[in-house]
Amino acid sequence: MRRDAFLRASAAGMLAQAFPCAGRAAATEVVEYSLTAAPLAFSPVRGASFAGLAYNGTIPGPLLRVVHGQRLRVHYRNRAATETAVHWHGMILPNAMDGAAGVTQPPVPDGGTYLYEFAPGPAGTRWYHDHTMGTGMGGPRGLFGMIVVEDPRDEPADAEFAVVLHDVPDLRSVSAALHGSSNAAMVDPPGSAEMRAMRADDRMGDEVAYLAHCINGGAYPHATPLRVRVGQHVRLRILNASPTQTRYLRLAGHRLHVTHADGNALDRPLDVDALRIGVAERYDAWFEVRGPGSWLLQSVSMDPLAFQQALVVQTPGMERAAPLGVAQTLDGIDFFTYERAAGIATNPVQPGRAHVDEHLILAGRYGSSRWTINGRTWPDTEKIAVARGDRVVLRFTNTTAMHHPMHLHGHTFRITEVNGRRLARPLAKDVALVDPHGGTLAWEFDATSPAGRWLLHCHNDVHMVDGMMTEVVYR
Amino acid sequence: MNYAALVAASILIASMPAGARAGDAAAGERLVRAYGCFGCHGARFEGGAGPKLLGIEHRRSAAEIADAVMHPKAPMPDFALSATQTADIVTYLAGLDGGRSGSSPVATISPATPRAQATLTVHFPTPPKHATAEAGMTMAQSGMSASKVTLTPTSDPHVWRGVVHFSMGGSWTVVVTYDGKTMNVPVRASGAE
Repeated sequence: MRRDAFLRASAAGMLAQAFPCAGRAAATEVVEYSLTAAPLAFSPVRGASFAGLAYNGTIPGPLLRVVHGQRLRVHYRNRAATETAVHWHGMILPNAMDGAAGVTQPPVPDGGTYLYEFAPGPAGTRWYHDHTMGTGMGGPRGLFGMIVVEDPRDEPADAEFAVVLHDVPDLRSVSAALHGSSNAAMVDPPGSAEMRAMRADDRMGDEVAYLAHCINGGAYPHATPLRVRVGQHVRLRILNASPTQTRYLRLAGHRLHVTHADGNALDRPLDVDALRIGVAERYDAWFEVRGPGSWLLQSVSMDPLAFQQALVVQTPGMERAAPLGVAQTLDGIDFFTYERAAGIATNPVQPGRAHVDEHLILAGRYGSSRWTINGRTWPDTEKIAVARGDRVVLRFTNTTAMHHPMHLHGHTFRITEVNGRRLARPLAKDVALVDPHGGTLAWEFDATSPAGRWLLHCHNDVHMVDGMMTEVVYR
Repeated sequence: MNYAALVAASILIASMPAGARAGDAAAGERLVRAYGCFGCHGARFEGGAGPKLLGIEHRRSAAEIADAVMHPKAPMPDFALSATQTADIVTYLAGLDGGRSGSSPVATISPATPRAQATLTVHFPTPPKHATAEAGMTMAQSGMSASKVTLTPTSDPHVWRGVVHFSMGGSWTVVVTYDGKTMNVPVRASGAE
């Protein structure tokens, strides 16, 4: 089945549309896509002209869909005028297909091609994005998209939408941040006196300044509404593709029923007012449309609670109604955390002895160009050597003032401890936030992925490029 | 009460219908931040996806601004705000520019509730050639007025100042006359004890 023509025809509006009901394909079928990276002048808001890069002419790139068990074949062409490579985030796949330029494959030069072919898995909401370390800034410029690996065991939804949260950076500020010369404002925790005192024009609580904040390619009110019907159970597949920002997402008038974290089913679904979504994280959240209406799906950053990404969810006939909104506050709001989703163990069982047990100290000063793991920057960081079948435990301590969404390629790990507390039901993920100011996190995983070099890094693009990266190497 | 709030209060008192209350600008500012209004209206309220709010008090009456907040038209969200919250927001918005971007002068009275006298400060978008102020009060059948004072420019040629006297407590209106035009500044004087 070739979907190229379909993709070309519908890519622009595709993300905002309900997913087509894909038929259940035979397990041996190969799904082929053509993906071309090329420059795109992107203007999400009036006055903002952005030298974007796009897959198949859209930011975000086209939504790719396969059924678990199918093989995926992607004919990748690079016309981006810079080196690129496509990383399949959250997939367990042959190392040569992982798309880490300079580590698992040579970067694809401008004009070059690469064939990615593998059996996508595990099932769930995953994504793909550029993974080069140079000056091309493919990710921040727009080379990202969602890929859904359908799980035939999933409860069917009445309607399903991709919700890709993304930000359009001022590329000069990205460059400044990489060189440690960012003069952006300090980051303060939500609710702090400093944050309350912040003025609207001090909104740059980040190393990177942003031109626009988008959902599915549009800044409010230009993001395409999600059209739902009364009585529907709606599934949102949500991805935070921001280069740097942790987000809090709410749907006015509704609570969200969270079933999957990073595409992996939770042992127990959790109902929350808001999601906290670190960079690169995904959540599947459901809600029921109980009556006609128009509601804002709002996503704000924590530093400060001001950058607003929003789009409208509405029932037929409500197109002209002012959508119901909510305050951008976390006061009295219960939001998704790892501890709430996984529970705190009341009688923690002493874990069995691990074959590899590493402690990784994350350090770096806000606004600097040096973000380290155990005092070193990539490529001089100590690598983590594992043997097939090893039980591996990684313990992180974040000594910095910023979140670090730590991501391991090619594996699903289980979060076992958060800030010193052992979880009752370890949470399966592929990227996890380590809280600032001394926050800790422990993961474990079994070294059962294909052999090779698997990057382990902070998914804040500035921190990654400035050194906060190492790798898990199969001996 | 800060300068902006003072300006806003004086404008609102002048333009709000009888029975309406002037809002609390500080509370309004908290609400405007909490609801992220600058997401659409711009970091300096200079406009963006939504209209420019800076100087809105010169283009819309307080009642019109309140109506737009309480009964928004899409895509402006409905935050289901109470009348009190709306008044606070309107007061805050009306003071955003301190009169600087509008076409009308903006006057402040200090102290806000004077006893026998108060300092009147007027910010003129265009420096006038001459300006006077006269405090008056309308009584049952007749009016009374106090002394007429000549305002003098400060080091900023846009800002003129003078001391206005009140002979008793009550609701006074200070009529500012400048270059053949007039503006009314309401003042509630507490009166000498």
